[in-house]
Amino acid sequence: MPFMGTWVRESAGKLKFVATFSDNVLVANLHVQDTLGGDTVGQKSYGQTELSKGVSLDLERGHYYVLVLFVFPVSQSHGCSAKVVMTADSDKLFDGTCNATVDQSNFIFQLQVD
Amino acid sequence: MKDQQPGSLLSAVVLLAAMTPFVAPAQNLPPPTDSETVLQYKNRVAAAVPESATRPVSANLAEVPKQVAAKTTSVAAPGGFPERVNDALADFIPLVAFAVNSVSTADDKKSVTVAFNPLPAGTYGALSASATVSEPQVFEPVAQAINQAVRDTQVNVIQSGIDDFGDVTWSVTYGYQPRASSWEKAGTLWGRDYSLYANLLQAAADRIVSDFKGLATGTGFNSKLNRAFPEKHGAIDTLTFGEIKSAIRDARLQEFDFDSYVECLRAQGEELANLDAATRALHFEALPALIDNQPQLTLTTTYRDPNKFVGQKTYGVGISLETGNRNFNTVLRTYRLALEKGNVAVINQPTPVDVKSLGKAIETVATETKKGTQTKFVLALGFQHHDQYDLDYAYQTSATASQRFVAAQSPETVSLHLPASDEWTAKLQWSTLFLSTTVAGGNPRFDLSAEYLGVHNDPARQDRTIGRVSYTVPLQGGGSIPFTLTYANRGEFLGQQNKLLSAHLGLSWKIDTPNTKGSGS
Repeated sequence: MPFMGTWVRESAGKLKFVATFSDNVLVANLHVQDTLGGDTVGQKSYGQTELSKGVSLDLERGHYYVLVLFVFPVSQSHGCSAKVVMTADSDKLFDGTCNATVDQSNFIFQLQVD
Repeated sequence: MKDQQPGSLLSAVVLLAAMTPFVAPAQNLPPPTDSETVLQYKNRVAAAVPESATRPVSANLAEVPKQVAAKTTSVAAPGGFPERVNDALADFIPLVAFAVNSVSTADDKKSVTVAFNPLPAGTYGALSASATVSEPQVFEPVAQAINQAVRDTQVNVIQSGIDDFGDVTWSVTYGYQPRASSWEKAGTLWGRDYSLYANLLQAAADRIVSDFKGLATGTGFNSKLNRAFPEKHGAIDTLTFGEIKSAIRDARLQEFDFDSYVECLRAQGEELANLDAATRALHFEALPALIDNQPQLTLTTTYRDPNKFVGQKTYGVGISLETGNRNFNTVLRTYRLALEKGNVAVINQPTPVDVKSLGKAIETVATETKKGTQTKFVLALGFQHHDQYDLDYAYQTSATASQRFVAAQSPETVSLHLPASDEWTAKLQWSTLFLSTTVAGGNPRFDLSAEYLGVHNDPARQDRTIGRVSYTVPLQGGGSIPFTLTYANRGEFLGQQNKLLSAHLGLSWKIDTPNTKGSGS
């Protein structure tokens, strides 16, 4: 369950999240939690197909977003991976690979908009 | 954005930490060092959270079958026939890539199969098509009809004239695959395609995250750090604690309580570790093995249109039923039973997944390796029709120098005419592993198999019935003793025996070394 990082943005805008999955993915899911002042104001889930096509989120000023990427492998012995690109207004926040095993299948991204 | 007061944030952190149901806080964690980044510290906190009882159930039944792990969607590139076919397909497939699901080469390298994407067929099923390109071989009756003196040479001449796509079998399979809309409404599910269960699994994952209360505790600190370090362009996790302390000393960071910030990071790490533990408690790692035991009902039609020297046109239809007793449906039943025991009125109305009961149900089904039996059952019925076959082929008996003892330029003709023929097949397999009985560290096993082949109008083949019952007792060191009783309607199907019934008592063993794996009996 590694943290992939916390980013602070100065302005509202668009966040784009795209994932490319390896073979051997049993289920993949991105859950986005939108909080304002400590309260959850919205939640949305995206399945593997949507993530492969890319999802776009409207970032609002003052909000704090927690993105949890779940990737579960079909095979414990082989694991699986998701190559993720996360971009906010043409600024690449994360461009890397999340390797999923049984012990490590969740990846946390956090984003705050000032 | 509106900043929060550190005091109230800390209270919220303490409250959240007190509500965490899965793991205890990471106690006695050394404070962050000046050279450590914020991200490194968060990961250190997460790693320090004690492991709970939610470890994977990987040791026993949940171990994923090797064939699942070996599944591939990439084109293999072995030498010879499959390599040539794969090369040819590589030129063609990009044009229809949207429809191709996978390309795979058989273990014996004698065939390459292109599987197309399944298409939904009504509410309860899906159609999947495939094409299997087999390495063409000259039809045996043709080879036998050639003069023996030049047979090998002529077969080679014919073989060289057949291209790699001279033996293609097309098949379309309908699979009975009703989809479940929710855990509560799911009845008995069929099919072994993981995507059939994806919506259920994602609903469970959604529930876990929706129970997660979020990490709003860090907002005030993050905003201040972002303003104090504009050169980081928002990536505040890359700051070291030394840089943060220095900024506080220089008054670059104002109204920033360092100790509260570290405590906040620690609480965040624990909260996220709880999320991770909750996910692991679902035991998704056990599901592939259970899905591979799901009942599967398929109806397959095949059409083979080979080169004229390779064989007859063949049409086939078959129905197959396979199932195992410890499967995803067992999880569904166990889960619903747990809900009913808990007086949760969920039947026929969608409710959030009870992840605790679900995780327990998966774990129970996957780890109950010491109770009852583990049974697998296969029943397959098939029919094939071979078209009438007519071939007239002229050749010279002195075609090559190697046949110098044969009269020169003697023309001969193969004139082969085979009537249309039919064949019926039936196969039954039943295997049971007695989990509650342990012998030499293993479980005894019962196997029953029966096979029938009925042919009509094919003088080259005869009806065949073979039945086999076997009881295998394990031995120490990986060996086993199989007691086998075999019946066949004709003696030649019993190997060296010439009676219709034979009994066999054997000894089999497995040899595993770092470099070799084998077995014998």
